[in-house]
Amino acid sequence: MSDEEIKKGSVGISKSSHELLVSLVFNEDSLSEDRPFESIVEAFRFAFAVGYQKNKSNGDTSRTVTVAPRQFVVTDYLELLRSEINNSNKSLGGLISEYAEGGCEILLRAQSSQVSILSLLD
Amino acid sequence: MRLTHLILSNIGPFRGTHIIDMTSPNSATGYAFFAKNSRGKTTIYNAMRWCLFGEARERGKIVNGKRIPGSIRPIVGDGKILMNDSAYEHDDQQEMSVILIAEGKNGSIQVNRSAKSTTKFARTDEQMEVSLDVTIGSKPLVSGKNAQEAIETFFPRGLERFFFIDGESLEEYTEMMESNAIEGLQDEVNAVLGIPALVKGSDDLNFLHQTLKSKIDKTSKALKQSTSARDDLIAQKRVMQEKMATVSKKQNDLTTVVGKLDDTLEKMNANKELAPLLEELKSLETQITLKQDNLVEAAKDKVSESTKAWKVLLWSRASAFHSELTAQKQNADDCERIIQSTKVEILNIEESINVFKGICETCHQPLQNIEKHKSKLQNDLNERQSILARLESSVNHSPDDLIIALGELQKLKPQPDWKERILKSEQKWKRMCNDLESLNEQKININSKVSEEAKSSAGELGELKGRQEVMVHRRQQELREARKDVDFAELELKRLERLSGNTSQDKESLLLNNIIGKLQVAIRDTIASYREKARSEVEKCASEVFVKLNNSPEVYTGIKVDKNFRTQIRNSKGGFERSPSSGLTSMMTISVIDALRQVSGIDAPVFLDTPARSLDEEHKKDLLDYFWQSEGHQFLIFAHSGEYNVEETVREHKGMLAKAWTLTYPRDHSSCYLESCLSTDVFYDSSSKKYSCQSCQHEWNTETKETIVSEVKL
Repeated sequence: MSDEEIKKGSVGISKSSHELLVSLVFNEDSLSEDRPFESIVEAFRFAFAVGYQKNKSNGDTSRTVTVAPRQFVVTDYLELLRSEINNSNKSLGGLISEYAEGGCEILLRAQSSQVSILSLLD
Repeated sequence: MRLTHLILSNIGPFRGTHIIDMTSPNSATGYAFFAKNSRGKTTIYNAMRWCLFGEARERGKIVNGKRIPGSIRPIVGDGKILMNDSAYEHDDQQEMSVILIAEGKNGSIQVNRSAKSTTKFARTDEQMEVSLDVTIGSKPLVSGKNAQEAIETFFPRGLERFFFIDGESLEEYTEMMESNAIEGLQDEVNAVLGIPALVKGSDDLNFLHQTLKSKIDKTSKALKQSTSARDDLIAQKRVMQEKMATVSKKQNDLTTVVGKLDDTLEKMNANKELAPLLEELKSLETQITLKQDNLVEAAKDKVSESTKAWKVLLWSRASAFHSELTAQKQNADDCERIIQSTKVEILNIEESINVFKGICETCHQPLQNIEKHKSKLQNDLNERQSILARLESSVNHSPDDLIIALGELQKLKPQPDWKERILKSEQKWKRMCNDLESLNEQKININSKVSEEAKSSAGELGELKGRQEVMVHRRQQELREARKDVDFAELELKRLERLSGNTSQDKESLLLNNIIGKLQVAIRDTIASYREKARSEVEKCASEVFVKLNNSPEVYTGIKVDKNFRTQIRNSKGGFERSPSSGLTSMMTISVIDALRQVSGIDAPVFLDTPARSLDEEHKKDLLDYFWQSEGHQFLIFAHSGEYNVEETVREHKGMLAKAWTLTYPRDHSSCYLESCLSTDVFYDSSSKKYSCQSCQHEWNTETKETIVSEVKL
């Protein structure tokens, strides 16, 4: 499939996942809480990376909260996901969103089990 | 005093020794020397001045009412000198002398002044030794300074002008008398009035007065400063008292504050058991604040590092894909190389088939089985084309696509240390969180042991203590400043005490100054009074003389002498003569001079050189008529031939004239001039320019300039 044939699509996330990501954004009044990201986009990017790394995607959830395309450029990840897209006929944004949603599940579990978010790097 | 002899030796035209005998059988006052110019009249006049006063001056000048004295005529040297030229030039020892012999009220007076060169040829007066000897009556001979002082007793130098009168200088006298400024005649007037002694005393008193005044002023100034310092001292004492009161107040304030601080410390001591806990609590709060600051830093650091975490995660899976693509790229490159080389081989085989000529390419010998060789080439070609087709079909991605894909993937690759850095920042944050939690737990623990009330009380006490400590510090500072002010005030006080020390006015100085002041006033008044008395006498006397001397006494009635001794001629109308003739003015001047002389009371002869210079015939006669009397002061005139005729004068003043002389040069005589001969039988030798008396053989050279003194027979 050539670049012209790949659909970019949009990135988004479920409301619950969005709430989770909001809870991970830095706040000076909650210094003891594990809030390692400076913005929701950064938290979304991390969730996508966790989902991709763990190969965990969730395609069923309806995505009600979109992520600003200017701050998250989907084509940056085209080569990474090209073969999957070619094989699945999904849009690039859709695939990224599924991985992010999957990542959010992992993050939620970590949060629930008092495991720090960044310890997922190990 | 009456002159009896004058002995001149080698002075002026008087070569050798000339004795002029002035003794007379009668007591007439008239004496006359008649001569043409340059015959020695003024020399006699100057010789007597030199003999009496040690110098003979040239005529002076009057400039703006001030008399500029003439220069002193030197004894020897160039130009006009006192010594006889011939004696000066030819004598082995230059020597000159004048002896004056007179009869005074204290007996015979002899004044002998002589000058003798100290070198072979004296060129200046410094090389002349002048000696003076005086004898008065039976008193022993005195010399030098004492001799000069002795002369002052009978002939004061200050009155020289009124006894040695230069007719040619009458205008000078007149001008001084008419001038607004009396400076020119002041000394003489004072001398005539006998004022110098008083004035000298007054000058001394002035000097004393000034010295005392300066001393008194100095003391007064010191006294004034002392008084001022005393006032300042009193004020400073008040300042000192105020400063000390301030110190006392500050000391009290400090004591009060220190007392309060002590109370607070006492209260704090009562809660002593709580103190360690409160201290710990305080320490914990400080630590918590610090930790919170650290935690902010750690959290921010963690957020900063977390921005790279997604790459670490992606790459942990994507790295395998990257490796796969890298391998594909390698394969694609290898495959492309084989394809290219196979294509070359195919082309070579096709060319070989097309150009085949049956010659072996290796040994260049003709081939025996050409068809077989052709068939082999064809098989090789087929085999190569089959390999090429297989290779080309196996390539899925071009190397360029793979390069792009690898490049894009490379952008997702994290730096090797990122993971470690991210985890370190995470750990640091966690540690900070734990530390802070631990501190908060400790704080809670301590808080549980101390009641809020105790804490509040301790806190209030602590704050109070802090405030009181600040206040104590401030009060101490104020006290130090106040003490410093006292120190400065004390120094100033000591300085003022020194300045206001024992200064008092010297009462004796004040008294003496007062007496001197009174004396000065008395002297001033005395001088003024005496001056006025003398002025009145001079005016009266001068008027009497003037009436006798002037030829219109009915018109010109007298002389007015004002307080400054300026003179004017009174006329019969009660006014003053505005434009008197020169003769009348000369008469007025002579009258005033004679009046001053009379008032002075000095008994001395009067010497009048060129007496009738500006007088008409009538006045000339009147002058002699007045001065030449049958008795009284000697009056010597030194007249030139144009002034008075010898025979006529002798005839007209017979009885009043004591003695008369003519002064001549040898060339003035064409007959023998010796008194014992007087022969007219003389011979003149024109070659030697000498006359010789045929009677007495006396010879005289007409070129010789040596004065001959001949007494006139009366």
